[in-house]
Amino acid sequence: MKPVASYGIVNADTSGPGAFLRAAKWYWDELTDMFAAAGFTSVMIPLVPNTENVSRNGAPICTASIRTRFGSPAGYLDYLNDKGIENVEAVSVSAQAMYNSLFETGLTMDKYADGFYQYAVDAAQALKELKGSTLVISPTPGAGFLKQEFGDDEGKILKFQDEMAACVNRIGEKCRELGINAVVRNEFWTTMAGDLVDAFIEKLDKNLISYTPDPAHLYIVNTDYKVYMKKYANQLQVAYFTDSKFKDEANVRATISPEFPQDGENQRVYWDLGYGDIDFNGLYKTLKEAGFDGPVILESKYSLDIPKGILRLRTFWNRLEKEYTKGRDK
Amino acid sequence: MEERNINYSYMTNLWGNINYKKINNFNEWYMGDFGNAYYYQDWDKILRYFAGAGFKGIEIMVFSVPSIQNAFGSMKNFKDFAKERGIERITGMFSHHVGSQDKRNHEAIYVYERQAIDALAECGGINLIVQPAGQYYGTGPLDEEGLKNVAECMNTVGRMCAEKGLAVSIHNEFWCAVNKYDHEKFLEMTDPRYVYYCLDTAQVAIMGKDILKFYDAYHDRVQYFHIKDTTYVNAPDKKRFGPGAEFDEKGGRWFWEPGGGVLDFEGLWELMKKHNHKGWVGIESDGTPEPLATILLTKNYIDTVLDPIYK
Repeated sequence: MKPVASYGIVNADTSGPGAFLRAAKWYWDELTDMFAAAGFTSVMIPLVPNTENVSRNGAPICTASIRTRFGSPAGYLDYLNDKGIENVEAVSVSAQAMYNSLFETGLTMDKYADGFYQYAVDAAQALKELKGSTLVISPTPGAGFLKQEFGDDEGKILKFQDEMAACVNRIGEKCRELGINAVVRNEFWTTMAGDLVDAFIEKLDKNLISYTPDPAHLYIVNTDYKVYMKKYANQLQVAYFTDSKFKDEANVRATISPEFPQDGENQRVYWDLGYGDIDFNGLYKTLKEAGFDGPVILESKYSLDIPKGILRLRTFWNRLEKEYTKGRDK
Repeated sequence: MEERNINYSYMTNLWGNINYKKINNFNEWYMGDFGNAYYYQDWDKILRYFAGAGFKGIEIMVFSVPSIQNAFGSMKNFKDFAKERGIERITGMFSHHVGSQDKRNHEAIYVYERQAIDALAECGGINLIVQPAGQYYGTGPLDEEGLKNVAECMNTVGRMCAEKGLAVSIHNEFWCAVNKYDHEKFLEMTDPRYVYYCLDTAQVAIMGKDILKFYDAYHDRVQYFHIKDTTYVNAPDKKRFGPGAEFDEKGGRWFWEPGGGVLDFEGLWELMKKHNHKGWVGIESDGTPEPLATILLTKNYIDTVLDPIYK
């Protein structure tokens, strides 16, 4: 298996000393060096839509910024290669990220699916140039946001979900043309969360789209991530490792601030890999037993200390491999 | 509040984007990481830092509106929350008119600004501070028609603001498509009944303008300020017109707290006194690596250097 370090370790929209500077190119130049110094040769980029505010900055988290700063995705790959990173194995697109950009872009919900398709195809084309294998798709915005848009009209929400499923299938067709994989991933606050995962996957064309279980996001809503990993291991194109200690006991998944719970004593959703409650030794074994030998995205989402978080990623992976070898040799 | 001619409001963008209303459990953010994240993630503490340093007003960024609404439910709730912590007024909001040089984009800009104006009015604001066009790179230089369109867009938004009891003011970034060579011309193309000017001291000095001469000449239009210092006056076109010029590629720092650079704030305050300026003066410190230190240094500069001249 090949470890892939995710740029999702950085919350580009957070606060604190230096947080404003995460929009600067030099910040990401340093980060790239840190990933390479920690022994990673492949990265994953969660891409956000191209809005003016993000595009004009130097953070390589949208294609417009990459094109502005490096000429093209291929130009960015040359830069990464020079730093010791061989490829961008995967990029992701998120229906929630697109929803978050509506205030700035003015896009209306009736054009949402078309807008998401364009965002995804642009990302897939960039991925091709970045010599990557997989487009990861988070296919719906949060349930709380949809309720804000559609009220309690279940019919409208279901229709929207169907439109998004059809959109994901169209994205899958485009990815096939480009020779890359298209996979969907669950997030705990969306309409493809927990026990809703299977129902959404049923709407997708399995010849075009596969599913990668996100263990932390399943755990948060009390869904057995080990069962899901076993169930879907044989069709995996990429594995996705995330960690959490958060249990959604207050139903924040249904609110408009799911990633940042506003009440209670438990408000931190994401934890560095190895610092939460997920049994990664068990997941790794499951992947091995299924014969999976592809990329494993390591995402310590929104780490509180990025340099330390990058070193922790490497430590996490080293320990995981060591533990597996030890267990196998017994 | 003490009777003063000018009061100070601090733009909150030096912190980044604040996602939490209030963090409740120190250990959750400390144990295992042993860092300072607990202190910098929520409005509760950040508002109290401003108030604790003696600032009674804040400004917000338009990009913050969705996360504020998500955290507080409404802008009014946010206003009330801030007031409980010693912030008397949310005075302004920064916004931008990307693409305004092309009339075909105006309707979309008006829709966008309608949301911003409603949000600002809901939290009892005063002033919508607007970057009049996108960045120079990829847009400038603007021809006569383009400049006219930018002015028309600003005038319309000015009228929209006036209907809600707000003002709109031009905020001219050194990297904006409206730049050094049409800076005053553009201001004169806008309608003085609806459009004011927010003098961002560092941005305008980096652009190559003498801020004292400009203020003296246009003091009737300059109703608002973004006070910040710089060590880089009159930057060459190449630096200002490059892609994403706001963030120097190598990390060079454009903006400093007042007193940290070379601008003549004492001279500016003498002019404010001469022109009997009254109202809120905004402080902006985007780009500082250490917000708390910058806030405290700024307050000390106001107390010891600026207030003795005019307050």
